[in-house]
Amino acid sequence: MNAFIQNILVITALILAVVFLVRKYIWKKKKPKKGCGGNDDCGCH
Amino acid sequence: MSKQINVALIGNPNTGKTSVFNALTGLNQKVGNYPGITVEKKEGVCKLPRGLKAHIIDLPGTYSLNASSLDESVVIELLLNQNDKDFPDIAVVVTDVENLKRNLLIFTQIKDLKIPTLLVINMADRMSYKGISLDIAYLEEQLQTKIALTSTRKKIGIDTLKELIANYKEVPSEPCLDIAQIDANYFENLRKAFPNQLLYKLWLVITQDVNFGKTDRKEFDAVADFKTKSEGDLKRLQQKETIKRYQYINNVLKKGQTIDATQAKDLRSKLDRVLTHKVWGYVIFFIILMALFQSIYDWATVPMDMIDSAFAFLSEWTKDHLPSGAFTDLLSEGIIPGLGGIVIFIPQIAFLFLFLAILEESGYMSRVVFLMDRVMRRFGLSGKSVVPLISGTACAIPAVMATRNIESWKERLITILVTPFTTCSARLPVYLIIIALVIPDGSFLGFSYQALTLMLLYLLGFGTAVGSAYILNRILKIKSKSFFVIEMPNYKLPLFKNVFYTVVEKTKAFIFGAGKIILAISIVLWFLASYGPGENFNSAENIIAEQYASDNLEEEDLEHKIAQYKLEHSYIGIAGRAIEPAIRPLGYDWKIGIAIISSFAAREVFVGTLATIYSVGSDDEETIKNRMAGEVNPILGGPLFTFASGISLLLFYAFAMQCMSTLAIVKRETNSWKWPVLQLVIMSVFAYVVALIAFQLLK
Repeated sequence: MNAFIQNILVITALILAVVFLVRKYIWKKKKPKKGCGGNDDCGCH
Repeated sequence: MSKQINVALIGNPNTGKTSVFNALTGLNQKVGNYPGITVEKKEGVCKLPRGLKAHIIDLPGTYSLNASSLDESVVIELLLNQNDKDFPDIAVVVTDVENLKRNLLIFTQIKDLKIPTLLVINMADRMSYKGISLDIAYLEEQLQTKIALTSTRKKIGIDTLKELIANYKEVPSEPCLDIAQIDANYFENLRKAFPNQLLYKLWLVITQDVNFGKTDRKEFDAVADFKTKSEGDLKRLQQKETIKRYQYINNVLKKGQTIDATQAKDLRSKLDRVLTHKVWGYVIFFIILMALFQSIYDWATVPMDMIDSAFAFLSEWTKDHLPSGAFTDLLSEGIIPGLGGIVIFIPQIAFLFLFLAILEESGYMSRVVFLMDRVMRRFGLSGKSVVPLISGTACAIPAVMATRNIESWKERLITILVTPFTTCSARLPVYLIIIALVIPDGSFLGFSYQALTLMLLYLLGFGTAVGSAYILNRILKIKSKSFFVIEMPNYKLPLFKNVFYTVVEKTKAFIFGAGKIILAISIVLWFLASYGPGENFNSAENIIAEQYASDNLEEEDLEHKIAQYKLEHSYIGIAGRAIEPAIRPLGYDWKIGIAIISSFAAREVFVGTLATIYSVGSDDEETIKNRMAGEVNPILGGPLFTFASGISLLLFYAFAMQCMSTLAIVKRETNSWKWPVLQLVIMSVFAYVVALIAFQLLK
């Protein structure tokens, strides 16, 4: 049982890690632009 | 009773305008508010020669007549409304003798409204300290005005100013600039639509959204013949206007003002003369850099070792106290060593940012930019490229974005392409651990070899960036020009609070930014290193037991052999050995190869990756540094990290484009994949070749 839970935890951690890396470097989610008045596309708005 | 002369005191903030107002009015002043708004209105009465009196309004400080705040709109509202009871008979523009160029912008704008305008050049007592001399007659002629040279601190020139105000009818009201120059067609149409109005006044009305008395903005829409421009086009015309004005001011000041820095006597000028000297400036900068790197090594070693040992202990403790199993192994062999590989560098990173923040806060960094401008020009870049290159020591991403203020596309592109060569903070962990492993103890002129190596790597990065810029400048056939203007801030003692916040913010960004990536990569790497396909991995115990059956190995040695065998036949081992032939000539084994590939996500991942790979299957409580020092070269048999392989690795990281995020930002800034792909290929090939030559020569 202990080994089973540990394996589940490892697989969960692995899936989360892979999803995080894929979303960070491969499939990026576009951030909606906030209307703060800035329009210079400097990334700080 | 004679009519009072209406005088408007106008000027940039911090020119001493209020001091001039106080000197003119004494106690005859009152403070109120402009109707309907909370902007303070200061007015007073001044006694002039021949029994005349002036009603003086101290208008809020403003840089130009292009209003961006309520304070500034008050100034424009008054100057555009001739029916206002306070409309000035004469405008008095107060300027600071040290910032005459910038302060004259608003002067030329008021002149163009055809309001008689006097020029007060204040703080005149600073002229001798600053080595400034003025040709007043020439300036009066060119600017078509009368000038009062004043110093409210030394009580100089106030009587002259009073005399000039009393004779305000003699002050010319000719404009400085013909506004129609900036777009002939547009202004011709405007003139036809409103033939009785002053052209510059109309232009200000169009571009300002202010409430100015009887003229109503809606009037423009009612005139069918005249089509106004879009907001973007109007802004472009405003920029053109500002450039024209500065060109005019530059031409006037070229002859009318002389600044001889060698004659300046104040402390700031004396310091500037030394710190920006063409020889001593560089010597001092070099010494400061040396002291910085020496301190990073001397002060950070103790906390670094403590953190390293703490993570080794934590890893061992986790293994001993948590129930044995895959997740415990992931924690003790993957996540903890991986995170340890970044946390141990907190002291060095914090010290680096501490010194940089002190240099920035004290005002010295602007002098460095000025110094470097001289060097950059020889390599075909302007001083504006210096800011991105220097900020690249923190991170190439904001540095690439900082190139946006370079007007010349060619210079901007070259700066974008060469900035990743400067040593960013992500390279620091790689440099620090490799230097600690392969550079011997000892010192030269009091500076340790390790600190010297680190400084040489920083200089190498900067030198390569500048050298590449020179080559690119020759290769790229794009014609464009830009110039560089920097305003030197005053020297000041750094504020502890500012320095502290900078250090905390930057260190936090470094640790948390890289920390999440390292955590994820550690988990994936641990999995790939702990599992493998086929018989070789699954029957490793049997294979090793058979292989060493006759050697009577001790249990510990046998376990070590099994762990090594499993690692070599794990998923990552198979991938690593596949790329090993390509990196073996550089002196690296497959584990370093895997670390290089994973560090393409971010360079600082390199140490964490090695820490994770070396921890898998190991039961020892070892620090990262000791594990790396204990690695054996599989081919030659000696230590893996030798002087030759270490230097090769340092050079590889100095030149390779190991950062996906930087490539993404280069793509965004150049709006093309061509440049980031070229950057990646050229930098990687160059890094490989240099690392190869270094290893082959030094081995």
